[in-house]
Amino acid sequence: MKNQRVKQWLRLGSSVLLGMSFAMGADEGALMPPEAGDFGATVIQAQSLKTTPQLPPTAQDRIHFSWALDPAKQLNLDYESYQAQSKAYRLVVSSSDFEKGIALPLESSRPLIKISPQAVDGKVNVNHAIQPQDLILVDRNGTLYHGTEGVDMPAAAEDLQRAHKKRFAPATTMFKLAHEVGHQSVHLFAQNVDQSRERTYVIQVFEKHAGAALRLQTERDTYFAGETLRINTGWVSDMGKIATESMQGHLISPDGRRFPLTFSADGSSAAAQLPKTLSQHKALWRVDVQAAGLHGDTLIRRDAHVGVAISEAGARFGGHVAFDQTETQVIADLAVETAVTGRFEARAVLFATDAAGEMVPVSVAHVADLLPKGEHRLDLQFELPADVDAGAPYELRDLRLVHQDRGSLLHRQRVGLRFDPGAE
Amino acid sequence: MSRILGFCFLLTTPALLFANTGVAFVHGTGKQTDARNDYWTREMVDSVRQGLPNSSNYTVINCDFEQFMWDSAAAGCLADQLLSFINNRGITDLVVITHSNGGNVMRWILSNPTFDSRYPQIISKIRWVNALAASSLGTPLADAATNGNVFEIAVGWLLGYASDAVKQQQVSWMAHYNANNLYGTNGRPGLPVGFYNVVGSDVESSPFDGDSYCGGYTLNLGLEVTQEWLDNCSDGFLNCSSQAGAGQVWFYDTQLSNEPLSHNQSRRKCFGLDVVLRNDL
Repeated sequence: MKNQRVKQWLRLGSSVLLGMSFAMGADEGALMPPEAGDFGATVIQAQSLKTTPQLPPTAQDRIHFSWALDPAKQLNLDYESYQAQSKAYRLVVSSSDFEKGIALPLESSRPLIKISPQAVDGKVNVNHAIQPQDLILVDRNGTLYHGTEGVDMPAAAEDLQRAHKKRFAPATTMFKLAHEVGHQSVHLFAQNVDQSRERTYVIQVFEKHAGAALRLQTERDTYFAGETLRINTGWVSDMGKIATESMQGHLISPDGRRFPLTFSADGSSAAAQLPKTLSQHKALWRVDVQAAGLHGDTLIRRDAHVGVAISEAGARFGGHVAFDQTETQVIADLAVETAVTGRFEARAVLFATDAAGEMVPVSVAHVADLLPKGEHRLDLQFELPADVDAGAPYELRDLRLVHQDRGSLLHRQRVGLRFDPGAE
Repeated sequence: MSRILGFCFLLTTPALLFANTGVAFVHGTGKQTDARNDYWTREMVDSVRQGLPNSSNYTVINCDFEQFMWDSAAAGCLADQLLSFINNRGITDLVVITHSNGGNVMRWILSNPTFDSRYPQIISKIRWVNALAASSLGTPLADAATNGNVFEIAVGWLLGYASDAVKQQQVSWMAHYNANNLYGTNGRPGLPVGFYNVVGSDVESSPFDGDSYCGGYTLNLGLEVTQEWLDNCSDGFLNCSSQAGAGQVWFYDTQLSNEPLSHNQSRRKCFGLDVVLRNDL
């Protein structure tokens, strides 16, 4: 409800007082062992994280924050990675290929086609656009379509720039093949292409109305450096079996390094060995798979990609937890071991037992601090909403440890702790 | 109905009766230096701020949202400008209006309050966020834009033109960030303040339809073809599912008027949107 302003609680610089209260009467326990689907490091190490982070003054201090949750709202803690399904593929061609003709296999009619010239030093010359009016299309029966004859909804480079400035590269053009051009294959030619120098283009074909898609999913959405990344892939088809002709792919780091994927014989799974040291780029890595299949005598091309995070195990929860409850707060004080200096954050969702005996989410808490290498405590201070009829016993769910200045997830646990402060 | 009740609630809440209300306009992808004129248009901003008790209590954010949402030039810059506005004008009750990827940058601040000591101070002042056409689940067009710049080269892989903000809005990337770094999507914990979505559902760009000219006819023209890359319910850049993907839906464009709001119209004074936003302050 928009009319309910959510209460927020900020606790800045209260860790000393909290530590004193713990010394006087907190209960103790240990984090539960990880279950299937949980993520965390057994060994921590510095690896390439040896430098001390340069953090702004606004990220130097311990910060606590907590807010209430709606107990009626179910949370999903399955930690499933994203599954991509693609009906698109891309070709990398050269400017001279537009004179020779470029074969585009098509499973369906009316695909969208997008053509982008390669940027050089981050810049694209708009004169290198392949404009729709310069196209020549030849369908599988040999019929020629000049200019926009075989095209619906042509978008010249200027149209796309006006509509999508900052999103599409300059000189990108897009069009949809007319229904009469048909399917199975089309040859694409273009006139007036500057051939003074060989240039590279990417042609993307999106078969929106196709019956076959390529599926791609990593086993997890986050890995540690040095682990083996595993993916599942295959065809999703509403027109029967697709016979795989080829399947290949790479894992690509944010700075452009490629690591080949090794596929199983049937192409349904693949793996890649992750490097032990990472780049400084705080971005996801890209798993990129290109596939070709046959449905009867129709060639189907697809490629798919997903993002995946690679972390370095710079810290972990030590396992010990002290917990306590006041009238307004539940506090869980977690042991943390760090192998490097960094800003680390613990966060979790507090579940409480309602009147019916069900566990319901009542509060979120975060705490972060700049910690040197060594052993530390991070105290989650959950504010208890006054209007919720739920209490002990509690559970810490969706317990996470995050290396904030690296943007890395280090620990994720569906249920971290069950506890009942003050219980005998 | 809930909004009417909400209004009554606010009227009866003493703290808010004496609140100093302000509004902040947070732009989408791009590096802005004059977002008031270039992104929102002056007539949109001036119309909305008339709903304030003090119409001078507004700010138009100008940051570099070509970076990842957490970057100091993105969320850091946004936090800086919001906190300066709050402190300089004594704002105690802030309504934030975001467009497109601006919703993600705002959600970064709301979801990561311990990342920066400015974030909690800002969150404590926000009444709610009105997210116009937020790219909460990303967009297949960001995948297309990125794929269109993926070139295999001898030593590696080149991502040519695509900015970090465009890469960030790829569908699988936003799925990752929503699962790990951002709150408010289905199955995830809620945000500390309300996040209310306005969803644009279609693009109309007929030269014979005067409504197609609102926000600029030529801006809508290119959205027609890119809408083909999307679901039937989309605004030319984002599927409706993405726009409704975090927080809760306030309204769909067709609930406001008979006209759909394209992605370029949902930041402009089109079809009464400015009046609804004005009346929400």
